[in-house]
Amino acid sequence: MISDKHCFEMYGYDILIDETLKPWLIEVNASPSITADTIQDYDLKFGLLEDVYSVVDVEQKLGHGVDGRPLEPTVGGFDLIYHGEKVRPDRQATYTSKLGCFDPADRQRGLRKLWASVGATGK
Amino acid sequence: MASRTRPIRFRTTFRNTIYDLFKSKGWTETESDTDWDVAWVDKDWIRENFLQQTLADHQRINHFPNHYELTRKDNLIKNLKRTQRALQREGLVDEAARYDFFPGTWLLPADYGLFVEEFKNYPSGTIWIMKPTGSAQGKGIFLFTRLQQINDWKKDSGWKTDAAQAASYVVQRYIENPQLIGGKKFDLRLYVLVTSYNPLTVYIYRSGFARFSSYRYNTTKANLSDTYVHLTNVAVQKTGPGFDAGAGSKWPLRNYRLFLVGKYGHQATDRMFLDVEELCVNTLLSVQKVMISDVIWLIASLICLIASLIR
Repeated sequence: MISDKHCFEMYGYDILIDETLKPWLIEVNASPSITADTIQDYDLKFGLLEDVYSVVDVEQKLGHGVDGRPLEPTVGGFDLIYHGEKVRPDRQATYTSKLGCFDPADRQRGLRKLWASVGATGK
Repeated sequence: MASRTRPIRFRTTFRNTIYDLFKSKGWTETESDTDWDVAWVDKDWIRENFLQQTLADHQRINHFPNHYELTRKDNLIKNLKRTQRALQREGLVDEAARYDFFPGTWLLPADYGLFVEEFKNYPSGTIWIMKPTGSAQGKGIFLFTRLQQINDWKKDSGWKTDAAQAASYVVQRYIENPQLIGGKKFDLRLYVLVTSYNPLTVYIYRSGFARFSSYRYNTTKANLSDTYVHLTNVAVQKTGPGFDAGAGSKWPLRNYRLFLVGKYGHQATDRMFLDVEELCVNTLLSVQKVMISDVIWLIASLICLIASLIR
């Protein structure tokens, strides 16, 4: 069995930041909680899972380069940061890391544009 | 790949967000263990049900069989240390230093002797943290400053210093200078998606959380046994006295970024988040080889084959 073609995994990373702004790894969880206790939490997690399946692309709508590299570096709230090597951030971007730059309206706009460009409808 | 004439069939035992998502996509549920297009399963399911199966090209499942290399604390530390040592051996000093994102850690009972040697090199009063390797949500974790305190615990728990047994605890230098916001300790929960280990393909989610302890942080001696102060796990915090789920014990990551920009400026904030991204990727690189190794599957298949012949 070659696991790689079939498997994907969403990890929950727990990271501590010290007072010098250095990050420390606490642990990695392979089954981060996807249940929600508030409406905001539900919306975030629903969107997160929706974006997981947009990246995983069960229906194979998204294109890949000759080296297998995904052509879309941003899918919903996900940014591709590594594919066999570091993915260079967009030079035009204000921030080089998009962590903490989540905006639900941006996400919706991006997804609409993405699905329109691959000729698919919604979802 | 043939074009689909039927809806996608999903298999999951979950009845929460993921189920709602599949339904909203118009996918249909199946209870079959084998005949599905998409499966969202518990992480233990994959090891129990996956060994004898051959998956069709289009089938997608939400775990890698070897995930415990990353998620069991003892395996994770072994993999990180091994990677760091390999880089040092190759003379890649800078690259090895980039793995300096976990505090000194030893596996117990196997490395108890090594830990005791190292313990002597730290100033007295240094705080250490003991964590059971297999459990999550802060269960069984405690802090200590004197070796005597784990000797007592060793006696109580009937722990045998038998090197052959699997690591049951990791002991780690406690990070005593966490960043505090409003006097409270917090940690970050981030979401990282791996779609392949060969080549390693990693996405990171822009959102996430900063999860706060409900209690003011201090490291006085009397306070070390108070896990509500030191552990930010929601599961721990929920059981604490006076826990109020609505009292801002969680920030969206966006609020944390805005806080940092206000206090340290854009550049330092961006640098920090880039370091976080690098930490996430380097952790995955340290397990890449063991994740794609199919050797254990070969062995498992052989065992199944032999077992069936004996029967």
